[in-house]
Amino acid sequence: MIEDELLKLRFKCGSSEALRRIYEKYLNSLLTLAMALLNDVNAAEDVVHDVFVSFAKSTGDFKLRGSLKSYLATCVINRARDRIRTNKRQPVRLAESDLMMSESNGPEESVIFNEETRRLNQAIAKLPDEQREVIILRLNGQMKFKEIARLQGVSANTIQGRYRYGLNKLRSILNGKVEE
Amino acid sequence: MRYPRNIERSIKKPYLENIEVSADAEMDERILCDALAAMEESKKVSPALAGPNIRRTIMKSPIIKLAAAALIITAVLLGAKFVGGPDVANVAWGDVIRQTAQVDYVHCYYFKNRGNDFIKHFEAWYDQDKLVLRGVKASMTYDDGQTQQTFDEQGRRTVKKPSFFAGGLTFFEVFSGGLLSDKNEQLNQQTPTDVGNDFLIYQFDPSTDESDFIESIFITVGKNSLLPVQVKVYHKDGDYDLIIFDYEAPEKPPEFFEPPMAASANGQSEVVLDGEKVVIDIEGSPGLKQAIVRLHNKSYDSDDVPTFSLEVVFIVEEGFRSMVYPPNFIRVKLNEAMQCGVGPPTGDSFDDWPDGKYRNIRFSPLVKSTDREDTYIVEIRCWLRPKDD
Repeated sequence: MIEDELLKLRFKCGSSEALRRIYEKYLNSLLTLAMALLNDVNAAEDVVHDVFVSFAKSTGDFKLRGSLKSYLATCVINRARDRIRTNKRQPVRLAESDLMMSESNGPEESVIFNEETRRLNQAIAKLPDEQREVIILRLNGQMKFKEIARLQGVSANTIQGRYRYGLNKLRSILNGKVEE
Repeated sequence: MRYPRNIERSIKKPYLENIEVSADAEMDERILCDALAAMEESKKVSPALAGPNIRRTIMKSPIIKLAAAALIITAVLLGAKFVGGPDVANVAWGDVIRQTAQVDYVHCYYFKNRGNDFIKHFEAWYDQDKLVLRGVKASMTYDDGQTQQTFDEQGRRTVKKPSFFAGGLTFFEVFSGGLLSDKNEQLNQQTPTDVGNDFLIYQFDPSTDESDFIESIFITVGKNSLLPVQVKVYHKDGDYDLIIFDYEAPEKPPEFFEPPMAASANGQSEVVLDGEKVVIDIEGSPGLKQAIVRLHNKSYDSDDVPTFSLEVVFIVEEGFRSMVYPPNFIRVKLNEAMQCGVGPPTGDSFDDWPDGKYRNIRFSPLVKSTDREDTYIVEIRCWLRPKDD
């Protein structure tokens, strides 16, 4: 914690070394979170890129009393949402285009997908956005219902409902009870 | 494969294990370089980075407050030969700061006044390049200029990593996040707002965005000695933060500077990098039976220190498994221990284990090298923290 407080202060003073350290410390977890939300490694990289560039620009004006990790994770979530919204306006839905992702990646691709995971991801991609986000933040982001509720601006009960409905629907999809 | 009613558990494991992403060099170049460039560009647009914001930040952060206080202490030491003369009313803050570079010993208390409570937040001693910090719940941090180690109230080492002062930073630079150095000209020019018989008082106004909750900040400096005596930050709601400094070496705690020996690990095993998961039997930690670890994704930080992804799952005596912590893995550095915690696989609290029992698993992993390039020793120190802690 002390380290993050120092990093925040140094970053605020324009320390590029602090920015570098923050990047090293949180990059992988942010990439993983973005990947879970977007199901597209290139999109995830773009989102994390934009988050770090925007974060870097905020030096000097940077003001944060809470957790640096949560702040960066929230930035990733918000940008991922924006991206999903934008993609929805395109003729091809994100969920459909995602399915091509695995085939297009080369052997160096750092994302490891097995068949089971691919099935899960395809099923998760078919969930309504609100339910999908709750499930990903809960399972992948390990966030509490209260934290997700704060992020989505609804009550914790609503979030728990979305989580439950999302899991039920996911089970139905995976068991073939819902037309895919 | 059919998915059961409890789909949460069914999908969690494969989902968490397989959706892992890590950066490669190309990605690093793109993201980090762009971010650093953006930061430099931002600095050009806002050249006043070290202006009033510095003042605001100094007073806002506890660490900065400590640093400010420490700075002041330094000045006090030298103040004996810096006896206030007729120009004492014009002593710039920068003069005080510059004197701090010569301070050998600093002792400070940090208190928080919240309503009717007056809480000691921490106490720190710095002497001859060594630091001891006594924090909440009697945790102790020792920094010998090479390595910092934190031990909890039971004497268990929870953190081990390079010194706060690595890179040649001074105590004051470290604890002010680099702000309290003589490089901040705007701040250095501040002069006392009040000159009493014994003290100089420097007053700092909160910045616009800070003025919502901070009323004002006062730093009191001995008039004759130019030693800082206290920093007081008044909040608008009536609360305040108080840092008190002294430089009397006899005030050092008996444990200064004698860090305890790190207790032996509760379990350890050789683990092959990018290999299979390894089960480590846990001994001497009641309630915990085994830890399952996997080490992968080796990379290097900016100091060329090897860094790894470490997955850890604990199995408690009753057979229940903990959540993988954090969501996918922990980033650990070679030979650096860190403090971590983990709870049940589902639910929001440490009570949400299948049997309803409270279990807050604290652990401190340490990765050490062996004579084989692909094999490392993973040490696990762990314990169940009682609920009332």
